[in-house]
Amino acid sequence: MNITAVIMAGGKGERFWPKSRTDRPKQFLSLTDDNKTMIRLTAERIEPLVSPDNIFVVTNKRYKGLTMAQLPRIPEENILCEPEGRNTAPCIAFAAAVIRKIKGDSVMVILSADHLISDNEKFLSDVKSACRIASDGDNLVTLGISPAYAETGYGYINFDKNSSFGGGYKVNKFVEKPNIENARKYVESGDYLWNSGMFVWRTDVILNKFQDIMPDIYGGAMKIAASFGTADYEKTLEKEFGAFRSESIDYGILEKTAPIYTVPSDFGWDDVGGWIAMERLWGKDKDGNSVKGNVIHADMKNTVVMGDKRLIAVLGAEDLIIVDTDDALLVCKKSGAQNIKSLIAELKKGDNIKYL
Amino acid sequence: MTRRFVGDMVYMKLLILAGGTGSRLWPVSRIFNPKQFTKFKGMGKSAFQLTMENAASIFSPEDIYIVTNVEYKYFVYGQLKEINIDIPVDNIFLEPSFKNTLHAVSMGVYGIAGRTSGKERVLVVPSNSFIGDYRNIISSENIRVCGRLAETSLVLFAVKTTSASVGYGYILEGKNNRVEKFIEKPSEKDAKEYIEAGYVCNSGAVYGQIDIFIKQMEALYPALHRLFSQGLINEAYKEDTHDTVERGLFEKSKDISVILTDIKWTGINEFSGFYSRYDDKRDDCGNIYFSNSSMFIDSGNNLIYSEQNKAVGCIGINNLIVIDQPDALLVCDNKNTDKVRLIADRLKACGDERADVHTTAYRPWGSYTVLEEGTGYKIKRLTVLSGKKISLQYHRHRSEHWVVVTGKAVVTRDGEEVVVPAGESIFLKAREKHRLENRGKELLEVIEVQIGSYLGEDDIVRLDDEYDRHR
Repeated sequence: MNITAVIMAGGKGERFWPKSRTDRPKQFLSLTDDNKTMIRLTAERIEPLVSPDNIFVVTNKRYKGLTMAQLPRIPEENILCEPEGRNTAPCIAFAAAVIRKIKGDSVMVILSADHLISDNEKFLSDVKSACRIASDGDNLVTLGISPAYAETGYGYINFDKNSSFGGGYKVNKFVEKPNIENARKYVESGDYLWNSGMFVWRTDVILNKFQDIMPDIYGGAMKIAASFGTADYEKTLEKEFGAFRSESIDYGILEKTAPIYTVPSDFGWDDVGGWIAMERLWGKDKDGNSVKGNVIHADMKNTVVMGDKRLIAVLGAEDLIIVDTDDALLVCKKSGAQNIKSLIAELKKGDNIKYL
Repeated sequence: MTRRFVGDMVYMKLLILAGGTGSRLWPVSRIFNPKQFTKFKGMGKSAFQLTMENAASIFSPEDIYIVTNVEYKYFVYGQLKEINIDIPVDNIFLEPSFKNTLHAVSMGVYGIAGRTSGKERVLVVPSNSFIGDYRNIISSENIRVCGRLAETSLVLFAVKTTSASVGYGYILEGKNNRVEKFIEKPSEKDAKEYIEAGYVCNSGAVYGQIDIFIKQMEALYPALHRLFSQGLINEAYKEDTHDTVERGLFEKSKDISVILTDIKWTGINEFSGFYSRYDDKRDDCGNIYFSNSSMFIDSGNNLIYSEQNKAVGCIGINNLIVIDQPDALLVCDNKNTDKVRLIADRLKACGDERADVHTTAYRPWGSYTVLEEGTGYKIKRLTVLSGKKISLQYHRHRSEHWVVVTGKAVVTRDGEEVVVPAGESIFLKAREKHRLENRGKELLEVIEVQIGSYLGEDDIVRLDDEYDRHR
């Protein structure tokens, strides 16, 4: 069966303010690599398995130009534009319906445009296993990551070790972000994987699930797909997509259906969920500092500094995140990093649109 | 101009020290743009100008003397002109190189001694602290006591302090106003102990009779004394000592007195000084900010200083000082401000010019700011003051394109004068002799685009210059 890839690239990347802005969010930045953007790395990673004309990108319509510039090999019609973000369930239904229409029923490999994967070989081999399981029947497959440590920021997948099936295992249940005690227990037990948000299934299988479980979204997605390539497409997309409720694929479909398989994977995955992730990406020096850019410091501990051209001098700082850009600067206690969203809300209130 | 007499201080002179490099206020203060000449945001005037206004309200201009570094000559002239204070050029002593205050005070005192009887009394003040008003220092009560003490000793002015700062000198007063002990810049722990033991804090001002100062110098530094008294300034500045007057003289000399004053005194020697100076500007959480767009979430007692249109987001931070300059950013715990100097020193040690210069450089004719630099190009904004012109010059390796933004430029290009109004531009090829002049009343602002294989500031051949820089 034909294999396609869907890169989900509609995120706003607010947790990476001030590097990430509304006009150029995280996936269009080179946070993990000195030269290449995250979306480009994502596309190049899957290309040995999926040819560019079978790679689709779902993103916000304002990022179409950015996407085309980053991924010049991907045909323009493969860039599917959401009028507004509605979380992953509508996004996947939309992509599945359009792929079925123009490519026929295919296996779809669903990837996030803003995750880090360090071992591309292992990644491709695991995706291949997942594709085999998915093409074999009505199976939904998720890539589960062998947890490297007790992370409380990820959801977990509990799987049945005794249910081996073509390199995958049956999923018992999905678990929301745990507290630290539970996270430790999960990691020790060996029965849990991190939920990476990467999925593999056939378009017909997932569309059937939508028809059963989320018929409203199924109906809308089918109407959009029917209009694809016609003069009515824009209008239909605007109307139908705009009416979708916001829902994640995990909650909307996966937690309500079976069988789901997971392929335990170990390819150096990180969701790069916030500035603190830079400690894992860049490593820490003996004082626990992770530093990029032109930085000199003294008495600095456990601090993340991301600079640019400008010289940054830090004297006496602990547990800070310092991010400098040409027109905006963030100085943040690590424990307050989740409040970047409040900061952005604050920016929206004032006369500060240009910093968003 | 009539000479003003202040009480019985007929002979009193004022000596203002304005030659410091202010490295503890990096990156706002740079060696070639030091803090005493910096117009801090929200202040309008520089500390030097505020000092001079204060001085000129009490002293007659011919009794005011200034010691500064030769590098700062144009800062002194330009900033005095801005506030319309006319100090005789001979009263401005120019230090040939960067030393410390022992040299600076000597330069001033020996300089004054050469023109007077030696019995004059001189009040020496720094220009980088904001000593509320000299009237407090030289109140009649103080001066009566001073007058008596100054017959045999140098007199320091001290203030009571409760906070242990490591940036100042601590004085133990003995009998008859004598300084029992003087300890300059102790550790924080020691400073606390001194305060508890009743030490007072040195204000940085000193009052004394010229011949007494010289006698003390002669006893402690015979070589320096000889050079200064013979007027061999360059040689004196080649001597090894880099001491401050506090370490070099007040700690060592036996004949030092002190009087306690209640002067309102904020030494902005360090960024922590901003807290007391701008106490009234604090928000509900104790944050002080000079910035167009600062946002605080769960943050208190921070100082944010940004001269740019920059958004500064603060989350969960306390007691931090964030100083934002176009080419450098400082994030510093407010207990560590005395260490800022180390950053400037470290930059200097590795030859980073950001220790010395800003993106904006001041020249006698105005200023320029480097806006953007890249391979083969550099973009600057030039500001030419009314009635001023840059030198007649040419460059070997670069062409320049001048776009006039405001004002009207008179450009000399290969001997020909061209008037360029706002909105128009002119191209100057490499090796073409050119000069930019502002004959108008308003400021002339020009955007300069340089193109060339070499864009260093030293690719300049000056043919004629109002400020004699072509010689």
